[in-house]
Amino acid sequence: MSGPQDIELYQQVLQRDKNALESLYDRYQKLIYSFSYRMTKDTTLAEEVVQEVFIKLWNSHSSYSEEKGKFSSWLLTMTRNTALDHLRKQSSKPAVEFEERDSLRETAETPSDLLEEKEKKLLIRRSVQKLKKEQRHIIELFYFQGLTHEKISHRTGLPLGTVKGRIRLALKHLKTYIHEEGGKANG
Amino acid sequence: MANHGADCDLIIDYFNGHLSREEKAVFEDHLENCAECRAELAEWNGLIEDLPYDSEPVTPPEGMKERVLSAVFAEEEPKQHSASAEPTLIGNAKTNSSSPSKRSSAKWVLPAAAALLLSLGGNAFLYNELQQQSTELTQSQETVDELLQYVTLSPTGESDENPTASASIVRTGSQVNVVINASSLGPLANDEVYQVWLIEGESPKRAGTFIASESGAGAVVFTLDEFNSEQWNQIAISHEPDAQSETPEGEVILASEL
Ligand SMILES: [Zn+2]
Repeated sequence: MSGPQDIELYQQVLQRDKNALESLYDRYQKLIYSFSYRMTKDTTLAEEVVQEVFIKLWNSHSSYSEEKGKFSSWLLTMTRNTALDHLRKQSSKPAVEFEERDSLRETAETPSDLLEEKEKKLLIRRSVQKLKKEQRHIIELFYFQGLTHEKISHRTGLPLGTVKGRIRLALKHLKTYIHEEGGKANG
Repeated sequence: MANHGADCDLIIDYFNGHLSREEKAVFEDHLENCAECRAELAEWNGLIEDLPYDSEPVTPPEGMKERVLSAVFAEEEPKQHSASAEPTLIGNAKTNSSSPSKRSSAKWVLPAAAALLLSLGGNAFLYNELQQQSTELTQSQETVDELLQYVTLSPTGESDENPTASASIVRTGSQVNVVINASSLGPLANDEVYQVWLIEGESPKRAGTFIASESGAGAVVFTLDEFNSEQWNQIAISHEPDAQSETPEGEVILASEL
């Protein structure tokens, strides 16, 4: 990774360094926005999520330390939780199934895409693609849409008591594929 | 532990944040005693290392960076020069009359980020969006903000800059925030600041201090403990020699009735 490490920038943010916040913004906006959009399927909501995440970061409403793992994971967890908050508030609206990717699809690469991140994307997406359709679907409902146990049961037609087992199974396969794909990439 | 299996089944709704406060406490107690749920949860939390990268990369909308960063920095606490300039002065100056629930006429219920989005100022599109969303959000009991009052401040003097500002008074839970968003402000020298005042009868109370950016924009969010629309009759912004003024010493540049 070029430039200062995330942790250095984060420490400068704690010192109210606006440039450091801007650097973190530039580094992560696309990943966070893409993830928020994947979860909310709404450009306005996704932008609100990004804004809230950076407001939380700037005001240190939650604090990061290296024991919490990677900075990017911490930031993404905050993103997911913020997106879930927004989704809950929207939950009275009818849900839209999100199988086909829509017109926002974008293939052009930007220089801000970190190599590490790009490789990771490839690896994860290849692995997810190897899952069976119903396994991808349950991960979509459980992880990206963050639905309730009951709604997942309803949407998949699985009995309540079966849902957790199916999530577990889908995740187990995913882990195996990531491991396999990762092995290939490194070998 | 007769209920063991049932408690384990709360894990999905716990992970996705759907439990009520009570259910959450029940599950967290359960977690202490259930290694299986702890391991499962740790694994699910670990998915953040991988699954977000399955998101199709999308280009953020035009201007998002400017909007987000200006909202982020608008959130910043007012610059304080000394303890005597505590912005909570107003909050401490409690009204001795009527209950805070007795509020004025029209209220809009806005989503949580409203105050911040409002600080985007002239963005009429977003503003309308918010008002539309508000009808859908009235049933959500969680962190909705209530816009108690929104006013546009008019220039009071003859200045070349022709400054403008808006003030939103927003209730968030038990707090009331005054969000000031100004533009076309003149430059400041040395310790000079812009000072917001809430005026009760003839006596002004300090309500937030801010400085202007190079482009003449400035913003501040100021918290009141309570807000009674009858208490204040005017809001004003003055140009002060420093952040210490207890009453306006410099020129009042913008004002509005409340
Ligand atoms: Zn358990």
